[in-house]
Amino acid sequence: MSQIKDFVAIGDLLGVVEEFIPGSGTYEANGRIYAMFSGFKRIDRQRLEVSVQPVKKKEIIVPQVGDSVIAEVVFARKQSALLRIFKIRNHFLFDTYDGILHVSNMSSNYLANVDDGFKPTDIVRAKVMSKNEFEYELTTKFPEYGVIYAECSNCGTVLVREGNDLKCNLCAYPNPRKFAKDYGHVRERIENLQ
Amino acid sequence: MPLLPEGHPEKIFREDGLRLDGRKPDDLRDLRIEIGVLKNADGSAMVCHGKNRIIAGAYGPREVHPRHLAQSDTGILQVQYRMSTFSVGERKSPVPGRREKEISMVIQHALEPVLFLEQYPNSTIDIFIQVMTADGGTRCASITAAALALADMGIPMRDLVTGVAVGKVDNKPILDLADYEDKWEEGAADMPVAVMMNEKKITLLQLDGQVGIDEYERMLDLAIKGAEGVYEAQKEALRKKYTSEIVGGR
Repeated sequence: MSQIKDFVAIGDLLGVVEEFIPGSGTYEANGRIYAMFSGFKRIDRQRLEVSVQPVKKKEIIVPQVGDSVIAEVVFARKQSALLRIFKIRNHFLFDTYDGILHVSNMSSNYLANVDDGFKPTDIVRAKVMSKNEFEYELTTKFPEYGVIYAECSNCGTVLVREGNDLKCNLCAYPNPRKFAKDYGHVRERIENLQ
Repeated sequence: MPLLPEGHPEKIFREDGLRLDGRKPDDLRDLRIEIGVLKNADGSAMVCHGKNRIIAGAYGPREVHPRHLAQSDTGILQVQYRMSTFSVGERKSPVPGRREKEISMVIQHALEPVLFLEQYPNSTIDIFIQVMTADGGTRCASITAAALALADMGIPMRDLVTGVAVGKVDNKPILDLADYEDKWEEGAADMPVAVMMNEKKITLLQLDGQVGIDEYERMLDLAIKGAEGVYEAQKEALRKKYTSEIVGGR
């Protein structure tokens, strides 16, 4: 229930740290808790937590640790691949973020080279592990992560799944990939069609 | 409001000690604030401070153009302050001049401390401020408007920023100078101040003129006192805008 008396504007004092734990939509400075949004004050008496439910909130789309992201392989280095993250939580990005996929985080099996799992232009579903200063570190170690769209590196035909391998129906060129378990049945859009 | 003489008045204080528009030395001008005035902006506000009419629109966080300005570890804030050609007595050239570029920069520096810019790497937040009518203290009113446009955008902020000008005419400190007081030349000084009211942190302080240290301190106290009035008006405007939606819905 939103009530007018609960309304707080940006910067309103909500309490002190001795009273409450600062929850979402709030921040703490010098022991005092202030509202970070205009919205309605919520107090959780059990957890002694004060939070603000914003009346208007702009969604910011930045990769967070733990997010599942869609990315394109840009190039492979000796032990890692650079991925360009273009979709996060069903939002296509206007500006991409760079992610690094190290060979040790590619598969639960041993991969000697990056080329055994990923090639440039592959579309990959990956999970954000951590963030260093400039890049996001990604992993595809779980069955649901890996390549979800790949083209043959010899002739460019879309690869199809046969058992535990991906095959090119045109040229039979070997195409080793670490692919996601739903390869070939991927429902989500990987192209921004707007 | 009574009509004031054009150009330079002969006196700046009336015989009863009040100012020419009937204010006491520590009174603000009339302040009217509207939020959400621009349909297509992400956040917007209009501030009518005395005879000033200022509209601010905020957009973003969005892609940076030109791209080389983007920073991979933090977002940036870009501010454009522009005066309309018809905003002053004599037509102002629409070319952005040195003064407008400088004011854009000081407004940007005044607003940056309230934003959590590090949350938006590679992005920009753009603020466009258009002065429709100018009557002294436009940079302070612009800061007031821009802070509300940011607040209307729905991004996290530490506090609102409140701008107010103090000055001195005939060696008396006065609050919130109007245009003709700004242009008074005897014993005059002009000091725009922007404050984050929560922690009383000052984000802008410029001083034009000569003041002694005790005079300066008195002027700063006056500025903080005046900023409190503007801050309450800012919050009241937010409250009015968002709680009226609830009442209308129920």
